[in-house]
Amino acid sequence: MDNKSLVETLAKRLNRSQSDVEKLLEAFISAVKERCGDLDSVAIPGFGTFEAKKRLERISVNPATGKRMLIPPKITLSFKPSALLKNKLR
Amino acid sequence: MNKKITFPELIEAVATATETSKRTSEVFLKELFAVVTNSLVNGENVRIKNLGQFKLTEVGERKSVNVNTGEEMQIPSHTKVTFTPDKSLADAINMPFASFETVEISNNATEEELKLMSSTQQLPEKESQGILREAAREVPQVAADSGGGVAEGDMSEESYRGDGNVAEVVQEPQPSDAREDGGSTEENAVEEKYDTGKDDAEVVEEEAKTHEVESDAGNAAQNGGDDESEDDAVVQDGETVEENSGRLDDLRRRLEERYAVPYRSSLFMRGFFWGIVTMLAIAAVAFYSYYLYNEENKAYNQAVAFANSGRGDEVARQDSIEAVVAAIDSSAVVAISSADTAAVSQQEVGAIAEEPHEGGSDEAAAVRYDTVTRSRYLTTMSREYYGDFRFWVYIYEENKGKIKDPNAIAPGTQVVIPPAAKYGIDKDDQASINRARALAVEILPPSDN
Repeated sequence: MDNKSLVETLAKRLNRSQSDVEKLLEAFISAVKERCGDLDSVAIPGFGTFEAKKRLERISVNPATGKRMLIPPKITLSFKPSALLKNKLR
Repeated sequence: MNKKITFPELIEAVATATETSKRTSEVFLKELFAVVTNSLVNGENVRIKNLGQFKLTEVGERKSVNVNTGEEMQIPSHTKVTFTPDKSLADAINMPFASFETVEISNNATEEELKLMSSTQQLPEKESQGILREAAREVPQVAADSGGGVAEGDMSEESYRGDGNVAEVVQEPQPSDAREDGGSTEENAVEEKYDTGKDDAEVVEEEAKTHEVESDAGNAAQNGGDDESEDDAVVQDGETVEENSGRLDDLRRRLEERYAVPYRSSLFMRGFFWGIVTMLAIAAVAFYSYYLYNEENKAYNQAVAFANSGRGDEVARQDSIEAVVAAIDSSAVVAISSADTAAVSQQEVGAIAEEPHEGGSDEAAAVRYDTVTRSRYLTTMSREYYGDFRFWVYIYEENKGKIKDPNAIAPGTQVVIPPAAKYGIDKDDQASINRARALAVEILPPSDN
């Protein structure tokens, strides 16, 4: 399901215009961005948790050239599905 | 930081951002995740613009062991959901570390180089613990990070030990260092700089006070000499120094504000800041001591002149003798202190002047001297004089008598810089570098961590 059909379905189910739904969706994403940018985690019951995680720097070797690269540390957004979602998918 | 945002909080955030009721946003969010869950259950991947993609992946059957009973068991194949954040979202979240880039490491790089590289990249908190030991050896300033409380404690102790030589402490946060460190995003750097800045300001304040006392003595010695204007100038000068430290305070406060949002602030400005702060401090102290030196000379001359003219008058003579004695005393003290400062600043200027010609052959022939400080190590000197930091071992060899542990040299230690020819130092010759490296291993056997 792509973004467009998602917005359409949501608009139909909520009896709202698509632009309204898009605005709400945008607000949700920026809330996640903001919270995870502060290394907080956003928990959504029955669905899962969005969490920012720190990754250590590491040295990786390119197997083709044998060159060693120092990969810098970074913060990534990870999603941990809740048990409920996992069971539904089983 | 590391807080868990619950669903009600999320609802509130969305409601305030869209200026709708909480009810609306709650219904919306619940529907949103219901729709996403539904389509996932139906075996469809879901892509949400600006957020990312929820993707289903098949996990094959695999064997596992029950941790409690030690029993083998079979995990049946199933699907699981993975989430890949959108590029814009991932970049926004990685913003604090955005300045880092992947670096290629040459194949024959030594451990030490690797550690140096990682320490110049300056890792935050826990990440840097691993390199802390090495950093403490090579780059004590960098090592004083928030995670390494021990290292920091050591540093401040060291700086207090160095207080005897005021000029030296002032010299420490060299502008070049500040710029070098400014290249990193780490809040540690700021914090550390902030520390030295504080020391610096304290020292400057102290300086100002002591000099004021001394100049008072000098003025008392003048007695008849009514140099009110000069007197004012001295006080004014003291004030400017204090003003400078006031400015330092101000900068510090502003830095603290920045420190509250360290990741968002610009790196360049930070380095720039400290460059200016340090230059101000050095300039103020140098100017002030030079001024005082002149002042005391004048006072002395005046006192002598007064003594000569006052012959015949008993009382006047006694006064003048006292004045001369006082003047000699105070001028001697000031002369010593200002000579110290002058020597250090001269040395600094010399060091800066020498940098462009590093490795010059005619220069390399002469034996030179240098002083170890908190920001100037054997490796720094080696890089400056020989063009490669690895040749520090030869400086150590030459000064073995004075240096017990090359990892912990007391600031202020004078070292002899041997001429490059004496040990066959050549930065372009791989064999020469290899020899230095072998010697380094001998001096500092690699630890086994």
